[in-house]
Amino acid sequence: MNEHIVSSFDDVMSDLSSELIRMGALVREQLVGALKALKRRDENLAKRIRKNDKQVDAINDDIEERVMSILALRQPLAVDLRETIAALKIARELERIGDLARNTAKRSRVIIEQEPLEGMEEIFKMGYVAVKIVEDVMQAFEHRDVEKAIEVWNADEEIDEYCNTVFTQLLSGMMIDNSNINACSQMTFVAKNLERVGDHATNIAESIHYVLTGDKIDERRPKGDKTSSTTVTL
Amino acid sequence: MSALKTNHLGHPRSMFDTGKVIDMKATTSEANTARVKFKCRNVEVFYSGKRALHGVNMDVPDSGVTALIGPSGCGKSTFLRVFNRMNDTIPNARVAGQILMDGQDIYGRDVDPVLLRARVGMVFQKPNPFPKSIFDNVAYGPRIHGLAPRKNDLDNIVEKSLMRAGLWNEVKDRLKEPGTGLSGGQQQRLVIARAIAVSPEVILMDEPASALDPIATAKLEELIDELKEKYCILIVTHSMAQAARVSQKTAFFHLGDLVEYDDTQAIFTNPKDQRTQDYITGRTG
Repeated sequence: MNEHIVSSFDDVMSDLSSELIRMGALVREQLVGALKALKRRDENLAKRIRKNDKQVDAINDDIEERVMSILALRQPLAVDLRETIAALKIARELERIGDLARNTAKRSRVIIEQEPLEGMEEIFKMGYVAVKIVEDVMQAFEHRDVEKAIEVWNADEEIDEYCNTVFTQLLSGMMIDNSNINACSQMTFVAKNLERVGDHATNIAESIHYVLTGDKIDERRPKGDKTSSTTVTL
Repeated sequence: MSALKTNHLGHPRSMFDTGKVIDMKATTSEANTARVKFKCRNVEVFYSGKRALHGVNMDVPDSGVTALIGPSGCGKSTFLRVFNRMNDTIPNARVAGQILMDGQDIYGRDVDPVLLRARVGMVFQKPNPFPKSIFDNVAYGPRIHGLAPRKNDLDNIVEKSLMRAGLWNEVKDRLKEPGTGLSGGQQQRLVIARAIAVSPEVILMDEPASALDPIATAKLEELIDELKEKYCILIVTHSMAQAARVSQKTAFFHLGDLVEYDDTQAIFTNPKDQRTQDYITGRTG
């Protein structure tokens, strides 16, 4: 793309984009940390993750301020307008992913206090997919890659499928041994958190698509999360 | 029991009950089907043989505001002046192609440019009231066109025009004072009142706010917003924000070409041509 005549406009737009990339990297770390704390039963790490969420919120505030200033001082139009508004939306989505990581770290405290659960591989695989989707969507943002954004948009289905499997496993786990209820019920929230991470990443992918093409992704994505109607009978 | 008319948010309940989906695209296409006021076909303008406008094809809707934007020297003002044959007044200027107003060729032999300019009024960058009283400025057109046989008719026209131009309350007690004594913003609204006093169908505005302060500009934009219901308005402006605010259609000119012409919203959020994008976002092309 050609440069702005006023070069400081290029600078503020590029700073805004760098700040989002930094936020994306931090949120990814938070998510990885929360999953690691859960897997290794490491309460210290979980605590750190909960505390670090403030940093994510601070970057979100910073991005909001930058966007306000761009709108007020530069009156962006066309691709600049789309980018500015998308930055605000993407930051909001990342902030929510950060909240979900913090919530996962919060729930891990109860889970760690309980006896370890057996057969939790699927939820960590799901976690891996969620981390990957966040990585991919931020890469699509950084490299202005519309194909990759569409890929992420479609990949959310995989998380939904995992979520259905994990949810059924957890329900069965609770039915088989009611001493698992404390840990398993917290785990269902963790699974739901990860499923929501996928949804937020999808929203980010939609924003990227809009910035790059000026059009919304118009196909309807099938909703893969069936946990709201899942029951298990023994 | 009768059903509640509104929901908890105060929205009309029926909107939800009928399951009616508001189709935003329908509004856009409705705007697109507005009647055409001007049909321009292959319009070219030459100054001393040099081509300033390169075959413009464009339909101007008969209501609403059409903005013409582009860098200096792109041909937008030249194009604006085609609609009331102002280019006729420039020596060595020649217009080619066809401009149909309501189906009639305005460059036809039977068209009197003076009468055309009564139907197609114009407002310039710098307010240019005549060195006459406020009343006489507005009364000038109706007088020379014989639109007011009685004094009473003239009074009515002057009052109505000043009201429509949003100036009446400010000047009603000093109609005999010179028009040149008003502030810049008031002068600009005075010349708009003068233009609408002869009941035109179209108003051409060539950077009408560029000499005004932000308050006078806001008043002018408010006025344009009201006038657009009744008149076809074409406006040349260097302010992107102004074009975006006041117009429904925007045409971008570059080096004598009409590059892109679309709904204003589309031009300012998602222009199709790289040159439009570069211009409105302030990039070097």
